[in-house]
Amino acid sequence: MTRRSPRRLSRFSKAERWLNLLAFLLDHRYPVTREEILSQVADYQRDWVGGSESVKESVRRKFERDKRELRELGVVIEPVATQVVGSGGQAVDAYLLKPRDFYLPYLELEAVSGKPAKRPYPLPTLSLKPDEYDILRRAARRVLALGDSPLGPSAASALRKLSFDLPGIAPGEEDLTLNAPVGPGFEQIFDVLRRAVEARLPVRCRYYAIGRDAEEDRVIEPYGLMLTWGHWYCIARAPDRDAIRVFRLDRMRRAELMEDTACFRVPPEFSIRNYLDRPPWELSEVPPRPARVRIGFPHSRWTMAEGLGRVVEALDGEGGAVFEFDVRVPDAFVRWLLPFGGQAEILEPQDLRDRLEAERGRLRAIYG
Amino acid sequence: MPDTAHTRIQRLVSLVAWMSQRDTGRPLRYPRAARYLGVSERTLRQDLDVLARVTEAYNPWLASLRLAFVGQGFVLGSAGKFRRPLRLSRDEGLALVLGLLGVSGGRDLARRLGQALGAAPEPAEVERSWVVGPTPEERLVRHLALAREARDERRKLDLTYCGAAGEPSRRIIHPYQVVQAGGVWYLVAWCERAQAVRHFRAERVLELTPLEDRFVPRPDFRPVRRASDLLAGEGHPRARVAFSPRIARWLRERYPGGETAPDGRYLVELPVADPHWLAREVLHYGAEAEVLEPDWLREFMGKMVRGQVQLTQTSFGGTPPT
Repeated sequence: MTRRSPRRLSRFSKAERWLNLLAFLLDHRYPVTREEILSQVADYQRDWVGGSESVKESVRRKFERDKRELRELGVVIEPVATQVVGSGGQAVDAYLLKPRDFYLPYLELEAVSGKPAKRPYPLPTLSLKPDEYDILRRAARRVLALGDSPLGPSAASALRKLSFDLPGIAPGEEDLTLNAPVGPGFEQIFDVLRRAVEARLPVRCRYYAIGRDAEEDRVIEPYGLMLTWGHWYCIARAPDRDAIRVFRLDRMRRAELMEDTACFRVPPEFSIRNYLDRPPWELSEVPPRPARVRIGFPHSRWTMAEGLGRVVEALDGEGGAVFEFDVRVPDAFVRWLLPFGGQAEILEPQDLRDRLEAERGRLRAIYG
Repeated sequence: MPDTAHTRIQRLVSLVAWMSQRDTGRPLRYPRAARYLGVSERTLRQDLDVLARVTEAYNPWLASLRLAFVGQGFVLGSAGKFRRPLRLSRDEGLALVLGLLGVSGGRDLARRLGQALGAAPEPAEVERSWVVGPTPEERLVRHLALAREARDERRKLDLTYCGAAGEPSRRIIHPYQVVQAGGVWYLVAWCERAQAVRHFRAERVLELTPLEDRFVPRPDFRPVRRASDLLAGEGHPRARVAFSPRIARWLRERYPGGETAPDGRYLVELPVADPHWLAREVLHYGAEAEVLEPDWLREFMGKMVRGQVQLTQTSFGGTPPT
C-alpha cells in the first residue's frame, strides 16, 4: 500500500482550491480541458486520479459548483466557443481565463505626466478626466456610509482596489462610519431581503411594530433597501394591507424567502429615492395628516435649517414660527417633539396634541 | 457579509498585489497588513496560512509566489500571478455604483465604470432598489471637505461652533478624525481652549477656516473606533438609565453591556459628555426610559420636561425612528 503524505489526506479549504484553480488557468495561454484541470489542480486531483466513476462525478460537480460561486466574484470560467480534442480523441469543452477577464483594468488620470507605473499584464486602461476623478473621490466618501453594514466590507474592498492605481481615491483610516449596532442574525435577514429585492420574491418574516407594540408574522414584497441615519430599511408592499410600508431591518426577527411563490411586479412609478431624507414620522405610506406646531426660538431656526416641515406663520418679535408637518407615523412625531419641552406646542389636530400632552404627563410623573 | 472563501480570495489577491507593487523586499508587520485589509490580525494570519498551504507543494503555476514569515511580520510577493487586484465583484460593484449615484454627475460615470471594472449591476437597476442617505447639505459637505483637507495636511482650523449651551464659541482645533455615526457627522479634534480632545457635531459648525499654522498629532490621542467612543470621555460623569421591559430588547443592541433589573427593566450606564445630548437621547423614548441617577441630571430632566431648559439642536439624526 502506498503511504500518503499527511497533506494529501488533509482537506483543502475552498480558498486554497480556488487559488490553485485560478493560478492554473491564468498560467495557460491556451484553452485547457476539464480533464486537465481536474487531474492537475490540487484537491480535485486527489479524488480524480484513480477515483471510481462515482467519485469522479462528485469531483465534476464540485468543479461546476466552484465555477458558479466564482461568478459572484466576477470571475467567469466558461468553455470557450471552440471545442478541443481531448485525451480520448473526442471533441471536448475547454477553458481559458484571460487576464482581462480576471484582473482589474488599469486606471489612470488624464493629464498626469510622468513615468507610468509597472504594468505586468495586457489589460485595458480606463482614463479618467479630472472632473470624473473628482466625482469618484466624492463617491468614495459616500461609499463610506456603508461602513460597518453588511455591504461595508465590499465597499472597503472596492475602494482598496481603486486606490491601487489612484491612491488619492480612498478616504484614509481616519474617515470612519459607524452604523447603528445590530443583533445576531441581522446579516441573514439582510441577505434574504436583498435576494428578494433582486429576484422580486416575497418574504415571510416576523416583525415588531413599535407603534402597536406587537410582534407579528408578515408577508411582504420587498421593493428596495435604504440605509439612512445608520439604519437599514426595507420599502415593501404589504399584500394584506394592499399598501406600501417601511420596515426597519433590525426590528425583524426572522426572514425567509418564499421561493415557490410567483414573482411580484414593482410598479414602474415606484422610486426608492422618494423615501430618502424623510424624517421618521414620514417613513410610511399611510396618508399623511397635517399637524400645526408652534415652535419657539431657537428651535424654530434649527427646524428650518434641517428643512423639516413648512413655515406657515412667522411669529414676530420672538423668532419662533408655526410649522406644518405631514405626519404619517404619529408616535415618531411625538417622540421627536418631546425634547423640545415647552418650546413646542401642537396646535392641531387635537388628538395629536392630547397624545403629546399625555406623554409629557407621564414624564412629569417620573421626574416630578 | 460572513467571512467566506469569496472574501478571503479577494483579500489574498489584494494583499499579494499590494505587496508586489510596493516591492520593497522588507517584511511587513502584521498590524499594518491587517489595517490595510480592514481585518483583525487573527483573520490576517488565517489568510496567510491559506497562502502558506498552497505554496507548500510545488506547482509550476504558483511557483512565482513567495511567502516568508519573519519576526513580527512577513514578506510576500509574486513575479507572476496576482500582481493586480481582481475585477470588482458584484457586491463591490454595487457599493461603487451606490456611491456614484449619490453624488451629482455620478450617474454617467457609474454607467461607464460599473461594467468596465467588474460585475457591477446596472445603475438603473441599483437606482430603482437601493439608496444610501442621508443626503448631506452643501454647507456640511463643504465643512467636511475642509476638515479632511486640514487633517491630511496637519493644518489647524479656526472653528466657530454652536455648542450645547446655545452660544456660538470660537476656538482653534487640530482635526484628527471625521466620523459618521448614525447619520450624524463629527469632527474629532484637539481643542486648544479645552486642552482636550472634543467631538464636534459637524452640522453645528458655523464657520471653519483653515490656518497656516500646522499641528503635530498628540501621541496619546486615542482614535474613535466604535460608537461608544464618541460618548466616552475622560472625567465625564456617568448616568444610570433604565429602559422599560417593552423596549429593553432593542436597547440591548443599541447599548450592549447593561444588566436586567428584577422588574425586567434594562439598566445601562452612559457617560454624560453633554447633558443636553443625553436628555434628548433619553426623552426620545418618552416614559419608556428614565434617568435614575445622578440626582442633578434627574433635576435637569425635570426642568426639560417642564420646559425650563432649552435644547439647541432638534435633529432627528441618531434617534430611533419608527
